[in-house]
This record gives sequence, structure tokens and C-alpha cells, in this order.
Amino acid sequence: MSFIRRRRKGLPEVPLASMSDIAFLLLIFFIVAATIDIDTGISLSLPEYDPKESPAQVEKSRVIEVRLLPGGIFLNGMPSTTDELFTAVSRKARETIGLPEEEKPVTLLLYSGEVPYEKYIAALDNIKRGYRVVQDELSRREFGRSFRTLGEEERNTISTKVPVLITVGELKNND
Amino acid sequence: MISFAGKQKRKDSKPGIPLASMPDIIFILLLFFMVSTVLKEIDVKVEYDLPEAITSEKFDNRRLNAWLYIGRDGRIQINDMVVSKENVREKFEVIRSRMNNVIVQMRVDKNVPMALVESVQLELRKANCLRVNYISSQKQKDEK
Repeated sequence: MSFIRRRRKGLPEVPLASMSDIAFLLLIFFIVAATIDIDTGISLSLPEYDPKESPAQVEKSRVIEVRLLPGGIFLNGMPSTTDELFTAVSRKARETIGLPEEEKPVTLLLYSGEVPYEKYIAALDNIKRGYRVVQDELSRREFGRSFRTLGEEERNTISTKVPVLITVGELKNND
Repeated sequence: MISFAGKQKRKDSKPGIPLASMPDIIFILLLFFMVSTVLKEIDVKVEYDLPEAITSEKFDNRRLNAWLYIGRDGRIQINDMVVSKENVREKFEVIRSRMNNVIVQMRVDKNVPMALVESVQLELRKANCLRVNYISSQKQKDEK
């Protein structure tokens, strides 16, 4: 008697109790498998390939020339450090905020083949930082916020005033 | 009487927390993670130590990327394959024919000489893949 009664009262046949366990297991798998780390890095546009390698026509006064040699960093021919690189770029960028596009500073980063990649990144980083600091200053002055928090349109306004112009290339032996 | 009836109901009922909606909640979480997960597609076959940089920016656009690795030993890997220097251009021309605006994510060991990086970059330029990104770990500003 009691057996039959239990049957009638019983729950629906599919056991749902273990469902959450199964789902949990799947959930844990996906959390573990998720690649959360987002890459960080320095973006750059390489110069277009030109078989003749004809030198670009840029006015000397605009160019900040940085040479990476095994013996150290040379800024416009003078031995210097990465911090000086940063200072020079930011100063030049700051001076040229009001000037037309053709007079904005271009940083030319030349490297010899023996220099390790790390040094190249360090130099590039400091050059970028030089531009970035001035962009940030201008952004705070004009919009009252840091460059990072600006919208796309505002960013463009700043970027036309302080464009990040960097070209890279290898030093040839005859240079 | 009323209180008595109430008491009986209490005794019958299950413990306080309602567990019926638990699977639903978990399923929603599950779906979220399934959708947002990007499973690791690339098997990295070269070893490298990344350089550090202060101006490192985050990149979240995963669709347009091609991956280029240059290992400690100078081996070059593109996406899933280890290739020789001569094949870099060919490989990137194929990639570019599929993705016009490809961004080349470069993971280069910090001690690799620039001569090798330059020769790879020259091939990239020949293949007209000009947008590169030097992956570097973020360095804190105050330790400059």
C-alpha cells in the first residue's frame, strides 16, 4: 500500500537535481579555458615597401633623428639616454602644437642590426611616451580630461594637433 | 487555530533557500563564459621573453590578427607554423589575401638582434602588411 502511494506522490521522472552539478562542471571548464589576459603592446605602421628605398623628402628641421648603435643611443648625433629621448620628443611636440601639419616633428628611429630588440622597444616606447605626454597635456587643457578617456572625435582633434609620427628603418653601412 | 495551521505548513516546507532557479542562474553564467571564451588556437613552439614598455596599450580586436613569433633561438613562427625566413613573405601574402587590414601581432624575444627583426619586417613590408604591434608587457610608470 505504502509503496503505491509513494509512486503517485513522486516527482517528475527526469532528475533535475544533478543538472546544476553538470552545469557547474561545464561552467568551471569554460572559466578555466577562458583566455582572460589581453595583450598589450606598441602599435606602429611600417613604412611602405619601396624597391628603390628612395629617402623620403622631409625637411631637416622637422626630423628628430634617433640612432640605435651597439655603443648607445644617438639623438641628432649626440650620445644620449632614453629619458633624454623622451624629453626631446615631448619638447619638440609641445613647441609645434600650433604649427601647420607640414611642420610637425617626425621621429626617425634608425637601428643597426646588432642592437637587441629590447633596446629598440625601449627607444620606441620613450618616443611614443614623448608624444603621448603632450597629447595628454593638450587634452587636459582643451577638454579637461586625460587623452585616454576621450571619445574618438576628440581624440582626432588632438591627434591632428599632436600627430604621432614615427618612422623606423635599418642603418645601412654607408649612412 | 490559524497559527496552528501555519505551523504545520512550515514543517512541511523545504529549507529556506530556493534552489529551483539555481540551474538557470548557472546556465546563464555558463552561456556567458561559453560565448566570451576564445579558446587558445595557437600552439606556441618557440620560446621568448617579452620586453617591457610603458606605453603598452590594450588590444581587444582579435578578429584581424595574425601572430608572428620570433624566439630566443631565432626561429620564426607564423600563426601555427614554424617557418623559415624565406617563407615569411609568401605566408603573409596568403594571410593578407584573406584579411586586408591584418594587424601583425609580433611577439619577439627581447634579445633577438634587430637584423633578424628587420629582415622579417622587410618581408612584411613586401607583403604589404604594414600594421604591426610589438607585444610588450606593461611596465609601471614610476619605475622608469
